[in-house]
Amino acid sequence: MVTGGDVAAALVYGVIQGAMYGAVALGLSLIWGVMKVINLAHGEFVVLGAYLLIVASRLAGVDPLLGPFVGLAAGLLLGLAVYAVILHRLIGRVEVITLKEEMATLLAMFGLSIFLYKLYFIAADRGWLIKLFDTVPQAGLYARLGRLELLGVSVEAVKVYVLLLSAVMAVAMHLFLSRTRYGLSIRAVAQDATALALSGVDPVRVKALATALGIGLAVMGGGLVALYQSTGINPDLAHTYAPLSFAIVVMGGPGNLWGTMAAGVVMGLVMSFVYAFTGSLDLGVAAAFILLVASLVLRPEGLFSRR
Amino acid sequence: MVAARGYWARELLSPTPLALYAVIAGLLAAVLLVGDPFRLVALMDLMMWIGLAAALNIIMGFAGYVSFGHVVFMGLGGYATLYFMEYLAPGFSAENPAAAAVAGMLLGAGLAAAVAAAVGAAVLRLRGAFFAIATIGLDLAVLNLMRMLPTEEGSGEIYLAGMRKPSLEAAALLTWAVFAATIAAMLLVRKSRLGMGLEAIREDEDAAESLGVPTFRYKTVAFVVSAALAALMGGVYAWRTMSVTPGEAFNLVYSIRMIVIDVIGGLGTLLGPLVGGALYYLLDLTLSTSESFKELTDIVMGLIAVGVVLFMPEGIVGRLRRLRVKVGGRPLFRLVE
Repeated sequence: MVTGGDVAAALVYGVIQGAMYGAVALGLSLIWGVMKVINLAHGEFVVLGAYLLIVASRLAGVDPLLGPFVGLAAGLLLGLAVYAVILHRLIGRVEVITLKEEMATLLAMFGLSIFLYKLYFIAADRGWLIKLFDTVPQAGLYARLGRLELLGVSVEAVKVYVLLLSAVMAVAMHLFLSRTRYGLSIRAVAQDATALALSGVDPVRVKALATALGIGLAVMGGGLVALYQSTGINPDLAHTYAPLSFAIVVMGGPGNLWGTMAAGVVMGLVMSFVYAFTGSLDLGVAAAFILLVASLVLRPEGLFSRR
Repeated sequence: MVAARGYWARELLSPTPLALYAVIAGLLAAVLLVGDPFRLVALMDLMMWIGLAAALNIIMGFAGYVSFGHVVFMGLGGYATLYFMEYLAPGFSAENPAAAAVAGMLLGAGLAAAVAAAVGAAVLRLRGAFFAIATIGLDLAVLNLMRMLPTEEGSGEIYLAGMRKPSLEAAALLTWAVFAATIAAMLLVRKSRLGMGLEAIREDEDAAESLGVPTFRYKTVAFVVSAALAALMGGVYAWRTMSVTPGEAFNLVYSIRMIVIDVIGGLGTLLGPLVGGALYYLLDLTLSTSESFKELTDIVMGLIAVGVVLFMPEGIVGRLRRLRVKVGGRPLFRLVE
């Protein structure tokens, strides 16, 4: 039987989990919206962030709660490298991205995703820094966090921290994109790269910045996943979070960051409530992807976008 | 409208189709002559990968719709085959496993075609990346739903434990038959009016539509044919391995390999799946038999795929077609398709 308490728990966990899903998808949404680049390696970058948090804590003694910021820094650099090596050749000098460039970047990022995915397994197999099933070390403030009460539901404090950090990521991105010169030029390059170039901004630098930020956010999101996922992490999470993030970005509308966050929360609630009512995690996941296909077909421009 | 007189004879007897017939005949001879079990399995795997890539080529190469969900059809074919053998016709399957497997495979092909037609009606409205992502969603939805299929083994798994394993020769012949059918279907689609319509869709769908190509019907037919062929191959594979599980039968890795094979070989070319598939399989065979590079196949394939997209986006066969050389007085792009 589903009681009132169960509903409250489904609600609280659904919102927390959904906010995290949204935050994880922010980077994908940014790259997609700005450059029409479908980052199929998104899931692998998320896994990278999760492992990075664990490795930074284990080897350098970084408090796991600060791990997501380590991920952000590393992700920014990695994003620059990905832009320089792969994306620049495909879209750097292209002004209007057509279906042809879209498919080329899709396939190139797809190749990168296979490479990274297998790399994790080989690294774990040979004992390079990571294990196949790794858990966050109990260290620093992270180990001393207790539980909190939200709406009468007892929640691990670290999950509340994940919720807060997700909100901070969304707000910070919003402020960056709407209040700073670089942020505005990122939005401008999506609309008209030629006009942007005429106003004295180099579109190539803006694209590089958008890639760096997008991948930085994805790796940072991986840190949140590591903190949230109390059962530990493994490379297969890439195959959970990538499709989930795609679903969320599509539902929210690519490039629409508030839409992405809202779609993340919707997705989190759907999965959490289907689980609460049926007791089946598989059915929750299936429901999420049926929702994806339905939203793609019915509203391909995003559930929350203004027409 | 009918094709001009002599069109089919000329097109089906040009160098590339002749090469395809030679490969099909050569592989049949190889299947019949090779007695060594290890080599027979290798041949089956080779034919399976080429066949799957050729099936995908119809929708992804000819029409330009990147489908990540093709493993869904392969998996449905496998499921239909084993479900038929274990639950629908256990007596018949015990008596004559090969015939039961063929019946199951045909059932699977029909099922996959129906699913492709139904799903295609919705997702083929999407273009580019949206279509690709919808097919990923389709795969994950089906994977998680199949876990709920009521089977005796639980969690949607089927193991044909009680039945004799098929003889390698029978499995190899059946694999060859599906392989040959797939290549023939790909060739016929390419050379027909449908294939030309698909090419127009790939190059510019709006222009094709405005010139009177029934784009939606063509795309749907291509998707259905492509799905049914993948299901047949999935059916043979499931019969050969005697087991299907949701996690394995709907594993996106299979889609990934089909795509990479087509990209490397040359999307939309007739020889592309053969070249890419042979390359993939040789690489897999070389690496997996060496002690220190065991799991490196996919990593190397991933890197090659990135390299091909960056430096040779038309793939190996596509690049060959662009060489300005003449062989026997004819330009190379007339010979290599």
